[in-house]
Amino acid sequence: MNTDDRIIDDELQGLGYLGQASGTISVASFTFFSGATQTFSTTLPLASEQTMSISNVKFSGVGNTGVNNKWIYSTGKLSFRNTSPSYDVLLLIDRTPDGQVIKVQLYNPTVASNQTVPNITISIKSYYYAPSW
Amino acid sequence: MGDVQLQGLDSDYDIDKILNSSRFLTPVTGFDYDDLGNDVLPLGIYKDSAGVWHDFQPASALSGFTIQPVNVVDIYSSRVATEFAGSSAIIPKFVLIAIKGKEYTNQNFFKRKNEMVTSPESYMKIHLQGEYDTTTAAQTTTEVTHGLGYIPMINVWVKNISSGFPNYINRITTSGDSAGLTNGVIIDEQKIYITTGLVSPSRNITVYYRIYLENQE
Repeated sequence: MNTDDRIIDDELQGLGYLGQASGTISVASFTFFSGATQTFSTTLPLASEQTMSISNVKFSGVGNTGVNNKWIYSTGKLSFRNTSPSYDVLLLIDRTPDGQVIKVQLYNPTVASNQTVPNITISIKSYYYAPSW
Repeated sequence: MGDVQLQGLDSDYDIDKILNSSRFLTPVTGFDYDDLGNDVLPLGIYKDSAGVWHDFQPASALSGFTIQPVNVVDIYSSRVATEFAGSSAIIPKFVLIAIKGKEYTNQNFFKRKNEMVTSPESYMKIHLQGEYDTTTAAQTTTEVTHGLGYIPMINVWVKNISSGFPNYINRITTSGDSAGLTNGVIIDEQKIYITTGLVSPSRNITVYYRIYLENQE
């Protein structure tokens, strides 16, 4: 027996790493009509449906300076009000048999006029892991 | 007959210590709970009636949007309680992670003394973990320096330790307004910025965080 072999006297059982995936949602500039909702999505591959994930997301090209170009820890739902132009943003992360689905909805309230939304990029980095169930 | 292979897990890093997993293996249609004896950190997924797996997700929605299924497993710091939103049974699977420094005596916890750990897995390595108490009297941002030089993966939980549902704990929700995040975590190459929002009436909360060495690629 190699003298470097060791027996672990412990009840440790970590969260096993299964892999990573990244994706991007690119929203080309468009005219946002009053009261309209625009939905964009992407799907990242999952090693298995029964994995857990940690996801970080980043919005680039939005007018909200507290959010723009910042990596945000996402637990499945993120919402904020964009400024310049003004519209509501909702990001949802869920899974289907096809994989991990990231959906972004932009909503222009009826009180706002039509406005032009510049190019937006939403980046997603997901880290998958699974313990021994 | 082959030789016994002895393999050890030699690590200089802390890893998440799992106390129990898959407490409820059968479909859940109502309320059940298991007292745990001390605070734990939960992570989990659940299968809906259509057989599709989902992450635990925060409840509530903004008007005008379609929401995803609400949380169907409520994790309290010392109790695992299952509820379901709707009439269909769900199957939750979760792990309960130990908080460093706490003693756990519940008989349902894994007890693995004097055992070999053989694993092909690469366990997430904890770089930094901690907790702090605050209140929801005002929106508060707490900075934690990790100094890694890259964007790490993290987990952050919030435990409500006063009114409403005392000791309810789950991963931090994320929300924002026109100025930025009102609740949630921003990560950069040197720090994480944990923001907890204003809730009235004010509640006492405990925030738990783990910053792993694993980075987003």
